[in-house]
Amino acid sequence: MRTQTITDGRSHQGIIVSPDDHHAAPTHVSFSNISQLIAAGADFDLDVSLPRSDFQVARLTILGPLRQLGAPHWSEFASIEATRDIAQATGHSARFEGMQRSYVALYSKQNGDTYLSDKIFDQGTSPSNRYIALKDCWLTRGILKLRFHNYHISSATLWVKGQTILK
Amino acid sequence: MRPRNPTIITDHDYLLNQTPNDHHAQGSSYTVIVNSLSIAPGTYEHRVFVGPDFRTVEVCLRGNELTNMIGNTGFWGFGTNVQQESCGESIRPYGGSYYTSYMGAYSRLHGDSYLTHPGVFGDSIRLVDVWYDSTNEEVVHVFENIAGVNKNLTVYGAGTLK
Repeated sequence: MRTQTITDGRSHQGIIVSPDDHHAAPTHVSFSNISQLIAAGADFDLDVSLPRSDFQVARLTILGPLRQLGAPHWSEFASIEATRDIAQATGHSARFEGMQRSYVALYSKQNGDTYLSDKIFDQGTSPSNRYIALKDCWLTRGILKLRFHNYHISSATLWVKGQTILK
Repeated sequence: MRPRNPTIITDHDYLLNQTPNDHHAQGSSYTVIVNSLSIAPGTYEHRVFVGPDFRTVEVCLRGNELTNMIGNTGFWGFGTNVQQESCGESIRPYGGSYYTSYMGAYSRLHGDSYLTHPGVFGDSIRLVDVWYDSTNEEVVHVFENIAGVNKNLTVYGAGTLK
């Protein structure tokens, strides 16, 4: 029997391999950041530590501040699919405040979109006047990077939580 | 022929003459069809046999009676091979009045007890959870009837597995 070294640090004996012997098994990670002050025009990177470094794709559901501040049926959220390439993320974001205040949009970095969400993650401002958007999302080795941007002329507070499935 | 020395395997190297399909977990898909199924108050597990070795499931469900509402309803979400780790979005677009449209996202890891909006006035069926049961090799869609009386569940969709 021989021992073979594999990239994620595990090893196995013999030559017969199964699907799980050396490939990252899908898993999930939750994250939150609900009090981060971001200066006017600045970026903030929320780094989510991953249990391994060899994931290829992350699929996220992230929840915005209306979950905390709005009426029970109000909702703000975005769903993003990211890869190891910062230029390849896609996603959509939505804000629901009833029929009179609803929003949904889709984004594709490959097609030149500057942001991956509407400006829906600002805790301190009114629902119609929010300033923090998800700008980028990508995988590095062992870290899921979420880059938020405050594009208002004054500081704003980030409120976000969510979870990701990693493949 | 087997190599004489230990082999370094990367994402793009394959043992001997293997192809990616020889040792990569393959994705799969399944369909969901539930037509006017009467559900008593409480939870109902809709199970679909899919086979072994999956760890994630992503599903898109739609149906007028998913939340027993007027208009189209839909759900998109994903789960793992562990119960109560799913998350997703529910959407009910309908232009009739303020209260009949809805968009929302839910994360059970962050404490949400279900994955879809319970519907207007709470008299509806909602989706509680989606997960892969590795013991029985089934995808489980857990619905809950919160109406207090029997309700009919109608839902169509498909899921993908990895």
